[in-house]
Amino acid sequence: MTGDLSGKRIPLLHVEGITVEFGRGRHRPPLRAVDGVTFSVWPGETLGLVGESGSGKTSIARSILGLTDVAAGSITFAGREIAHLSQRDRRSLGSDLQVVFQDPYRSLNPTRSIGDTLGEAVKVFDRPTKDALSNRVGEMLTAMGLSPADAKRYPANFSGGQRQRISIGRALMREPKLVICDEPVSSLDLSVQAQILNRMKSLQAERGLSYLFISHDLPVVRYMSHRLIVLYQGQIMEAGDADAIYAAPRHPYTRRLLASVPDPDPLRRNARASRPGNAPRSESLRGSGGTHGCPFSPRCQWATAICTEERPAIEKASDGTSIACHNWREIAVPQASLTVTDRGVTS
Amino acid sequence: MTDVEGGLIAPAATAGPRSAAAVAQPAAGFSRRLLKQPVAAVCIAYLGLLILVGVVAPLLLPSIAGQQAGSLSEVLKGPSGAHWLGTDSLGRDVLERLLVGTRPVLVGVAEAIGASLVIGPPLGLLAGYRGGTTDRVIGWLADLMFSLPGIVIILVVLAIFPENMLAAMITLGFLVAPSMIRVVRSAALPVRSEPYIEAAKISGFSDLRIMVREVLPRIAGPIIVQMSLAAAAAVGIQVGVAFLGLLVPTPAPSWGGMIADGWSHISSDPWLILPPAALTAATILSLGLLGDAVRDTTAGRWASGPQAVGGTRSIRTREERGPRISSASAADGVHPGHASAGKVLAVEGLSVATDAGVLILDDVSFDIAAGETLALLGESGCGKTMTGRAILGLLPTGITPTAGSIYLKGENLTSLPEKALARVRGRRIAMIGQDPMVSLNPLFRAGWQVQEIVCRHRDGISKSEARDVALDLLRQVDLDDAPDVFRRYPHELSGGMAQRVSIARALAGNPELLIADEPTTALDVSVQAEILALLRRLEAERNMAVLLVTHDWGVVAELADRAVVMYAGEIVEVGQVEQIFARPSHPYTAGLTASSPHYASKKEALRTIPGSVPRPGDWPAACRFSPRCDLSIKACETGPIALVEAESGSRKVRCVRHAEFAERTAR
Repeated sequence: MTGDLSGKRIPLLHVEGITVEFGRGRHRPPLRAVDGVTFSVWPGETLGLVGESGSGKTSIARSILGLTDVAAGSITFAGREIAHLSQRDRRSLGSDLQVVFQDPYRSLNPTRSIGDTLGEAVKVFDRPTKDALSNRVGEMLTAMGLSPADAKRYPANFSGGQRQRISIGRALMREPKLVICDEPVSSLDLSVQAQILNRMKSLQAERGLSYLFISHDLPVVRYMSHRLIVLYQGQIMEAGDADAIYAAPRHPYTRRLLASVPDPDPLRRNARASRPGNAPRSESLRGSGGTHGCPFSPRCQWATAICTEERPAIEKASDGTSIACHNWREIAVPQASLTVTDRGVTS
Repeated sequence: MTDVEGGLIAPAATAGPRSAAAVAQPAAGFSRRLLKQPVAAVCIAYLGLLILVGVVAPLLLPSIAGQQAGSLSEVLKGPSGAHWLGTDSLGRDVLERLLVGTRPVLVGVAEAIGASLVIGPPLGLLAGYRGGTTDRVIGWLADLMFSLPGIVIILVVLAIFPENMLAAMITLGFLVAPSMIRVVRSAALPVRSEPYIEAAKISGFSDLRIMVREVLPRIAGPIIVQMSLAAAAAVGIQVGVAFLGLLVPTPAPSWGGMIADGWSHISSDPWLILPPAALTAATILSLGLLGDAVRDTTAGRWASGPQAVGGTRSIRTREERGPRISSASAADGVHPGHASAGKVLAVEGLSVATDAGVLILDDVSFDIAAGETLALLGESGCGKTMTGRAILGLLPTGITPTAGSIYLKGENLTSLPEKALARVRGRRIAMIGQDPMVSLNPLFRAGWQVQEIVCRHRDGISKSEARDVALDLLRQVDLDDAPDVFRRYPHELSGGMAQRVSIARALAGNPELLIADEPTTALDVSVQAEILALLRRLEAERNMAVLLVTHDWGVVAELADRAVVMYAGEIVEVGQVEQIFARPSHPYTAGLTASSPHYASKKEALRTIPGSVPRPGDWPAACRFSPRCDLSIKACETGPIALVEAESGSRKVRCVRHAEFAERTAR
């Protein structure tokens, strides 16, 4: 699923079989949050990581950023192995690899002015003159739809959406190649969310940025991503072209995930009401599928004996989509659960 | 710094109380704001004077330090014209000795604080920021130093270095450092995991720089307070050790020595002890008060202002507000006897305001029938949650209803006394909140928390019967293994299971009205779908009225029959969900539906609504949405817009141009 390695292109980020574990004390085995995940991000593209809580999407982001240790596997960024770098050796990465976090209220230092927050990295690493620095800060604020005069103000003076734009601005100050966005719009209102998503897309077009876009919100990921990866309990379930997966999900988990997205159009309500309701519930007191089989097998209505015994290999479909399921060929491709249309909803 | 007001869009309320409290204020100079506090000004003046005396007095009165005795004929005299504070047991002038004796006190305090600052904050910062082994080792060291008997150590040091104040005070500084380490560590610990610290790490800053530039300013407050406390303690210890005569060589004056002199003559001349004692007390007090004031001012620079929603806008009277709702509904709505009979809930003309007179809800009216789900939609800060809380009679302190009525099956809740209202809550009106983990008490088993509500609302029920009812309720919310869930503590449940338990709790009183405030926002999508299906089934089975507060069109479409769209504290559109979604007749509603990425084409930008919701108190006088509306015309800005009926009464809309707008969107 690493894309065409035949060509001369090399991925900006390549993650190969990484595993992240968290210790749970002396008497219990460690919790495997990420289990052998492999993917690449190419220059200028947005790769979406989708999954529910516990799917390991944030752990993947944190291990790329060096905030969590990697138990196994390798992470190559711009041709350089970064999985096991020391904090000191990671410093030079800051100009190329940046992050936007979810909580706009906690991702800016309340004690420092916006200008300080935006300008700090440039000031320390690029050592511009004072005027050049304030120009760069002013330009970034303008690009984020704020005013250069806002540099003197403190985060408390801004709304959540404005703060999130400032966080994005901070990430872009040194013109990074890859921005990891961990649920960047999840705590924002819809109209504000739309403002942020539009800005992120236009910035990508202008600057050729790559995004690793992490979210639990499928419509948002579909809108933002070129390709997407569906994660479940630390493993990749399905990966491929975002629109293709959206239109025709093959993996039982992806199908279920897409079917769960509430459709804002009330006229489709009746169609949904007739959905089969006998699928096993997402949560029960039973544990997951154990360490051997497919993690989704306890919840899967198509599960067979092999599903609980053997972890499925990732297989490629004709359209390039990768699926980790023993039975995906046997399960008929369902009707598009969500049609991707180009109709504007209003006007 | 006057650019703040004219700057950009009002820093509007986007999410909850935090931003509601965010008040744009110019970052005035630190010292200016500190001096604005009278207490701080007095303390600074006093301590400044003391420092001046400490520097100048020994220079102006060089003979005092070596003065063995004064006029022996004027021993132990009270205050007089010649000696303003009297004379001591050797006839020396008390005032002169006090002034000259100030320097050793200040020098001693400076030495002690300097020593404690060298150790305390750096080690505390390191322990809090690094955590792990570093934290543990520093913690042990601090504990070890805590266990040392301070005054004894100082006396031992003075025995080795007789009358050496520097040694004594540095020792004191080391001894007070552990408490500083503790305070700094516990202040730095939560800051360590803040996302902006991680962002700084990712940007490649060194740990030292992050600690100094990012963490230190956050914890400056506690450090300053600790410093002032340590300074006050140092004054006390310096004076105390000097009192024992161990610090300052004999003829030289010191406050402690003077207290000793006064103490030995306390029966013959009680006055003598007062001046040095009063000076010591005043110095300790002003150090403490100044520390507090400085901390408050440091925080004030970046924290939001104290007042939640500023402004002095008074509540408009009903006449000024223009026509109420529309003719038809005004007629049938006034009395619970008519059309709202049969309705479970009827809210009529509800207005809610802060005590300062800032309107939060303005003339809100709607009703819900049995078996119907009504959605309250809108962005954060539009008054959705406040409406739900007003119905429950649980408005935050400082916010009260100012007009209107809330009828539950014809009974006016607004006129009920609190005691009667408490019987309605939980029994006839129940609520489920956004975060199930917060709404369940972590100390009690899940089932017991359901059982408790059953006992409370079903009179005369026995404990075992209540247990059976609770188990049955858990089964009704589709919990597979109800007896097992019953025994579990909330932290042993997943988010979806906890939300099911809180729904079971809400059902325990057999409510007629269920208020669901963002019931699935905190849940995963697949769990959300199941909870929505559960709510839909329960509503039908129990013929409940449901008020669904949400910002999510998907949830609305799944559950609701009708929707009320709110903007800036008032209703802007009411109608059937299908109608509203397919043909919104208010530009705000249209903007909300269009900004959803659900159906959006990837090739096009999402539709957005420019700007953000104005805060209460900043609402425009005419159409509140017009500053963000691209259809705004003159008529929108001439006065308040009425909520009028549209499409033969099935809908209501508050927009001057709703007819043309509806035509446009229908295309």
